[in-house]
Amino acid sequence: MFKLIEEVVMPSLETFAEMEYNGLDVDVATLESVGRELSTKNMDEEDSLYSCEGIEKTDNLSSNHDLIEILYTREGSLELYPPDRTAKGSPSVSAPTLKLLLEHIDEELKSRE
Amino acid sequence: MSKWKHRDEGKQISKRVVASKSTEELLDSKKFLKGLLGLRKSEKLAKTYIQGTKKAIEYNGKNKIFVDFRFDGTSTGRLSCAAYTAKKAMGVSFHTLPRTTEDNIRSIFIAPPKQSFIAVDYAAMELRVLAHVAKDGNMQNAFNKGVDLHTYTAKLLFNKQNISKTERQIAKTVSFLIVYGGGPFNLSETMGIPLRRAERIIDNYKNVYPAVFEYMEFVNDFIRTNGYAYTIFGRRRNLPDVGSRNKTVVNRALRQGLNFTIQSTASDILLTSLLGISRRFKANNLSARPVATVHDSVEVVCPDNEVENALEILYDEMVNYPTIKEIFNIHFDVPLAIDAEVGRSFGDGKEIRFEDGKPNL
Repeated sequence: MFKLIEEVVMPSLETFAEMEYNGLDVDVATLESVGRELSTKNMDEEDSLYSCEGIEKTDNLSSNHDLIEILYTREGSLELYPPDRTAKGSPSVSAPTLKLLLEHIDEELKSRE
Repeated sequence: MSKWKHRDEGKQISKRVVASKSTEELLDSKKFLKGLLGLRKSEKLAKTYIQGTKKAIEYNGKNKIFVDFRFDGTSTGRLSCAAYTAKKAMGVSFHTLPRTTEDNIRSIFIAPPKQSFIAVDYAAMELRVLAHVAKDGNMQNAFNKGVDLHTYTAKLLFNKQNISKTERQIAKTVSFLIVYGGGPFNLSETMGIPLRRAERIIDNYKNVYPAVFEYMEFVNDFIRTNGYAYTIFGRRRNLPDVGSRNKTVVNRALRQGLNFTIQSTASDILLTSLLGISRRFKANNLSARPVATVHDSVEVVCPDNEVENALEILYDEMVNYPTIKEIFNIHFDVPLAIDAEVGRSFGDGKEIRFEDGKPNL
């Protein structure tokens, strides 16, 4: 351990100090274009979600409350059953739960082929 | 317990509800769920990396981000890094940058004009370390032959020559589960296979790489007796939890200990190589300099005319590890290997192959 500290860690500090001091160059043009691409992608994805059956224009897709309605409770929307709940007992809309729902759907679709 | 029971019930009802729907409805639901997951992912990317970098640039007053490397950020001795700004939650952590080139996030980090960005990654580092410390002849054989370890493992595991993608993935998952301390349960969860089958696969793995399991037993016994684990570099992690009366706590401590002996060794190999690299750059009067290190990789920026020279040094220090031999007198039973990329930015690198230590530019 002492050897590691004396002969590797301590002498490395200079290298790390230089790395921290110099930082990393960022290309603002690429940053902007990657950012734009991402936000266009986001908007496209959002648009296609709103075109799904039973989703209303007033729904907020980042609100858990609205998602619970869309996925589970509202008549005429997806009307699935929550496979999992949060610690407080409300239906979960977390990523693992959504993946679980997808799994169930895939299994079912496969069995129908 | 009740939560698990409830979860199980929820799953059953969910399956029944799904079964009662028409195919068309299910396809609609599938489209929505997939879209929602995708949206969440890209929103997170945009927020963490694009907004984060923009904020950091604004704060720094120049087109740069600064990173804070921490030697004491993890209990395994692995380096960690955080955004370096006076205000928290500003900037990005370099270590969590997504690997996928799909969204090109990495390409926002560039080399200055007329300079190149070199990214060198240790290939399958932790499994090489495992093969070395466990002294497993079979696994060492795979690395010495230079074949793809996971295909090799799958061939032995399933006892056949033609391996499907899924079988290779299973072999890969088992290998990493061993390193990170998982069991049949984790295997069946991650690969979506029945628990019984997962158990059989892991039992088979014991026959394929017996020394790996002997090593695990050895480490576990050592931790139980001494209350700590150590690595070949002399790093030590105390694991007082091993004395607990709670079985879950003890098992966690054993898992952490085993993982520590491998991950920490891998991290120290990189750290020592990095020291050698920066010393050699300076001794050779190169302006090449390391700009970051992420887990098993080193990122270097250098003037275009130094690329060849820098790559040679990187290759020698990382693959032939003279600095590790000199300081610790450690000789690995398996060859170390690297993947190198050179480009203008972190993300757009072109793969470089080496022949006898010389880069094929």
